Amino acid sequence: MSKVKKLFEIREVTLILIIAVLFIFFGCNNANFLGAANIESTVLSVAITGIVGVGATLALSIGGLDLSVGAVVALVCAVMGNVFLSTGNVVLGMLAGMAVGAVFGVLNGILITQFGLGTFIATLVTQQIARGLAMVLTKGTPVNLTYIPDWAKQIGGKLGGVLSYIIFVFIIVTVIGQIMLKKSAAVRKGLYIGSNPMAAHYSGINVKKVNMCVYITIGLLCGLAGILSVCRFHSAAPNYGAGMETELIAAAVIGGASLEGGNGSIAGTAIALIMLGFVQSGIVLMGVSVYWQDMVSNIILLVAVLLDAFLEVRRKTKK
Amino acid sequence: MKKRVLAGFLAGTMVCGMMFTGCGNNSGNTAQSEESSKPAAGAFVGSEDETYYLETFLCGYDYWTSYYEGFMDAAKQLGVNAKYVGATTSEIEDEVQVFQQIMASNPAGIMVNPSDGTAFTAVAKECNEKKIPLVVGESPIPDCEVAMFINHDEDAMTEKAVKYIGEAMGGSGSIAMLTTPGQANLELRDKAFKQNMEELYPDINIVFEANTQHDNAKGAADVHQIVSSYSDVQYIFCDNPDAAMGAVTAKEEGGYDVKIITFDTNPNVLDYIKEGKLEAAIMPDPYAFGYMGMLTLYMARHQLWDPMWDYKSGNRPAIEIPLLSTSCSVVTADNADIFYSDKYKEERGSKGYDMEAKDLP
Repeated sequence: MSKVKKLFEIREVTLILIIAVLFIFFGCNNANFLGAANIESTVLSVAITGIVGVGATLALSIGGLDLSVGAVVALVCAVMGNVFLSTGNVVLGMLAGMAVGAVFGVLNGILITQFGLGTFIATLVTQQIARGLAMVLTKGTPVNLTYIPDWAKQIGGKLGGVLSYIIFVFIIVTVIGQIMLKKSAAVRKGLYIGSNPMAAHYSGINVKKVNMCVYITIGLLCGLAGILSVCRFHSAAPNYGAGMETELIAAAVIGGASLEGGNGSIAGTAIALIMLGFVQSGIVLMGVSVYWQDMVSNIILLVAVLLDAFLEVRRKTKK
Repeated sequence: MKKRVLAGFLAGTMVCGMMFTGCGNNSGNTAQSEESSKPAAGAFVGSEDETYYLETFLCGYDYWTSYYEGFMDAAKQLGVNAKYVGATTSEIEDEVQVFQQIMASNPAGIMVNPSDGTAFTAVAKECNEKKIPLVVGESPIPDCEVAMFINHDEDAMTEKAVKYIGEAMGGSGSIAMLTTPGQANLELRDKAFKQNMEELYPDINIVFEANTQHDNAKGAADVHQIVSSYSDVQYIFCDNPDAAMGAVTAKEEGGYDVKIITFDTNPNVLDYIKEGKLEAAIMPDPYAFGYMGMLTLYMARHQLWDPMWDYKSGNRPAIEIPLLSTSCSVVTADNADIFYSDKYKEERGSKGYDMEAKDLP
């Protein structure tokens, strides 16, 4: 019994429990909610965002945040698209996209570590720059990339006809990220910094270097997300990823990260995102009026978050 | 003697008659030239110092391409200049801000396309006070002086979409909609579509509407959910091309046997139509909007109209066209090639939005 209790003290398990409750609630309304097709499509709908979520969790863990992720993903798509259309080489486009992601990661890192800007203002500025650049490159309208090679389109398809490549990448990146967060000394330095930057500095951790590495990692993850987006949608839209950053901050916090830093769970973020996805899909399957959809999904989210908070308080009280 | 007197009298009479006739003609000509303070020949020759602006929301959207080309063509033909500006979003605050910036540039006239005209009343009145001629498209602006409101007839356009779907489905079955609540012009479109469907094909049920906005990722997710829940859905109607692109992605991923029809095109949508992934698109004629809008602005600016009504007392403007409606095309695989905007601009030697009318070849 104590083992079961201990299990429910784990944040991720609580979130899975909440998803189970959602399954029961929405499943009673519409049996199609429980179907494999719906589950797969829901996970697919959050997978690209989830890849970026690994980075967003790291940012929160070190006591920062990154508001530029959505815009950088859009810019990566735009750059990849333009390079492909100019050269006919999609691999070159992918490399250019990754490079742009890395550049913005470096830019964020420099603004925060070298110029001492707060993470909020630094990443807000780079968000505007990235979005503006995406607008310039796309000229305000989705870039047509239906002519990318079939193998690139395949990346947006299914592995062995069974599981979407994008979901597969999402799972791999999440698992690697979670393992590194728990086991890797290098990554755990970020948590120490998030807990107490001064103490971390005095204990010999190079705070600036760790911060820089985190933001470059986020940039590279944005690059990966952008490439997958192009492979899936065959277009580069200037408004892609709008609102992604706030969705990710919400998911990371629900997943166990603290806005003050020092805490974070990449698996928790991923599960929280999937939970948000199920809430959205449940709303559609319930046939909620189009004017009510946003409100109802956020009310359900509020209930889920309150339930999680209640369980957390109970856990702390019992300790 | 008598013959000489008679001849002299007749000659004198003829001379006098000619003189009087000449004076009369001269008087008539003088009278006409006095009345020629009204515009006459050459009225449609303007100056490149006059700059007219076309403002849109979602600026850069493929839809506005031929719109601006029409605006520029009319400007070029009139000998005036034209520029394109706009808000990159469909957020009304952004559009109003751009409008105010245009007013500060001392424009000769403004053609504006708000996503929601009701929010524009205050700035439009400011425009009226500054005597800047105003033409409106897409969504009417209430309680202000507008030379012309030009729009495609949502009722007629959605009727075409409804008939296309209805005939294909044999008059009965289920369809779904991907909509954009909160964007006034698209809300009108969605409402018109539903009304037409109800009237023309009452046995076709709209089983679900999703709030997709202009988000292709959301469009894909929504279509997955819709088809999961309503497997008998045969058609999905999208009120904008971004949602349609997402719908096509979902269709391909899921292998769904569902047809998609949308409004407006972009190169992605046209390719999908040619590949058979997207059934059709309804495309209005934006060129006519731009051309007629520019013409009306010019006429309003130069007060070329002198109608038989009480505009001189200030009770109403000289030009007031409450609605000029344009037609639309059904874009299918057979005619999709015509609608590629890049090809169109290339043929015209135009650089599109970055160009001013005076530089148009």
